Amino acid sequence: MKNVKAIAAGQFIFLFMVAFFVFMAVVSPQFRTHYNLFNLWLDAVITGILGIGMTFVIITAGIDLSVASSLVFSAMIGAILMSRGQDVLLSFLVMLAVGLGFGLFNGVMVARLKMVPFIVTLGTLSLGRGLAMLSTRAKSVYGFPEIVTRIGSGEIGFFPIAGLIMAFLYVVAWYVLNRTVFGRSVYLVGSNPRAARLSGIDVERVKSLVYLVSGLCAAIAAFIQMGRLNAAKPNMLYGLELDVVSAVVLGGTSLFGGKGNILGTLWGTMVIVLIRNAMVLFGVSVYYHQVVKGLVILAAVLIDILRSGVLRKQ
Amino acid sequence: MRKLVLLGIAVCFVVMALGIVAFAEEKKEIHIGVTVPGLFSPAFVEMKRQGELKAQELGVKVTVVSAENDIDRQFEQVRDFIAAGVDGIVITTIDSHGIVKAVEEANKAGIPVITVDRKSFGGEVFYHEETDNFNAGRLCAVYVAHLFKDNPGPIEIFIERLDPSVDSVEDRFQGFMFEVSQWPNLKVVAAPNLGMDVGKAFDATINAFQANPNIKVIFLPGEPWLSGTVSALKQLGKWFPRTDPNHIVMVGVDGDQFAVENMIEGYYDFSAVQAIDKFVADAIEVFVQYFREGKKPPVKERYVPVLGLCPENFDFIKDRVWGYRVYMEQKGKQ
Repeated sequence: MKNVKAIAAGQFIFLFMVAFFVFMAVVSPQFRTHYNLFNLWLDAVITGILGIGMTFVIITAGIDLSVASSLVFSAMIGAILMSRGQDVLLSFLVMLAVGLGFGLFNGVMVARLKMVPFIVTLGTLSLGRGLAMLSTRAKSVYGFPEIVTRIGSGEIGFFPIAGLIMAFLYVVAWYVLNRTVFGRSVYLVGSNPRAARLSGIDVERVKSLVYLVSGLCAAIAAFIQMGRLNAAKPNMLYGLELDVVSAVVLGGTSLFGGKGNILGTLWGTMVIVLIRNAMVLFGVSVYYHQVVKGLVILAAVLIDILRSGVLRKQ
Repeated sequence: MRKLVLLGIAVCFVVMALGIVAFAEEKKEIHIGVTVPGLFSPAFVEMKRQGELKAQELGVKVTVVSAENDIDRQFEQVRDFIAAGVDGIVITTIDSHGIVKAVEEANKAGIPVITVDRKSFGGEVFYHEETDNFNAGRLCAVYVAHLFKDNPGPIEIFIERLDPSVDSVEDRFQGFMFEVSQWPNLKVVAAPNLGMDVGKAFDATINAFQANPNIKVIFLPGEPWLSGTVSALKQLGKWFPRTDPNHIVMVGVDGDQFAVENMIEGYYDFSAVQAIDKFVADAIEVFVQYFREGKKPPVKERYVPVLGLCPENFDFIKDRVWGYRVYMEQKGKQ
């Protein structure tokens, strides 16, 4: 019984999400339609994929506020290339290079030059937005090859293709974090960098790599985002980085580093998406949307803090 | 004890959240979903309010959501409306290209879509209504041109260009520039991008006057950021009434309460007034007529001309200006 309690406490956010899901399914007939369930999964994709990179970064006690900006800049570059008739694969590779470029820049600044992650990524946040605006003089780019829109919003049977890509990335991320030397190094660097260094881990290298992971995730999300709307706009996804950080923290990853759970990030993302969906289905006044979202997130985190006491006693 | 306090706080949060949800209205006969770009502009706030009043008057349920100027969020909101099974969707989009997929999804679900203020460049739209934004900007330039028609110039103009990725405000900018190009004595010296931020209006005005101290005219493609400009002019010592020869001419588009207030006080020169407050209300009326009586609107698109408001005609047309109504209501509350 004690073990069950401990497991439940460790996966609180998962239980919270399931309870929320069941509650919605019971009270709202519209919620349990195929369209809505598909919609929920698809809505979680961008935040979810960015959350993977952010989890790696936050576990090392860092933060990447530039995720949404590097996504948007990657998307604008990809959109320009495709609109000029460039090959989709080539455009995607260039987008990956842009995302990795942002990650590399952040990583070098944080790991090698010992700059504060918050400030560095705040700078690249602004830089990414500015470059995105500059790239098209703030205009939208639209009309991409069918393969792009199919990946962004198509489906295979019941499942959205973008949702399946996200699920695959979570499996890979889970494996890397839990089953590889690099994954264990990430945790150690976050919890005790001195001990990590004494154990022979190249702390700077690990810190640089997590920002690269974040940049890579941003580029992949950018490709999906382009397909979702069949358009790219420099001012899209403003403020998304805060939703991503919320999802990661909600999922149990500590902002102080060393502790974190990749699946928790997925559940945290789902909770955020569920809250937004519930607001519309219930017809809640627009003035309460942010308030309710904030209250539910705070409540979930507070309850998680209380529950985690059970784990410590164990 | 600490745990009890934390538990208490957590329970309070949950109760508050559920309480708010419980206040949501019950489903009525017709349910219309409305998504607006954001509530950062008084024009959108008034548009929302008038829409809700119209819905109340006609006995239909309306759910209004704000996209916070993010096209992706607006796309998700339309999908949420489809999932919620609304009867009709009203969209004031952020991006005319980016919204196409959302309109197509609504089409696929058999839900009619009305676009207001900004178009969708694809999908089947049941009805569209918007301000003639290009001519609104042009009208402002015409006013300036006539004001300085006997002055050989150059008359230096500062434009507080808002987010150029927002089609409607960009059309106003383009309309203004088109008219300015017809008058050799008019010269635009600065047109920075302010985004949707009143603080940036303040900074941009200070910077523009430091670089170009002879600026004589300010054009605001949207007036919600006027307060930032006014504060900057006061700080620069350039805040003079219209009767003063040092007065900086101010023209803009919207006709909101800030423009009205400054015009009444003798500082603001011209406003191209939109009928934006009625757009959502009109859309709801169109839907109700269609759902209840099967009547379709006589035209599929309607471009509403703006109203030129200046101190000379203020008393004659003020009652047709939405910003004047809001201004008087706010004054009444004080």
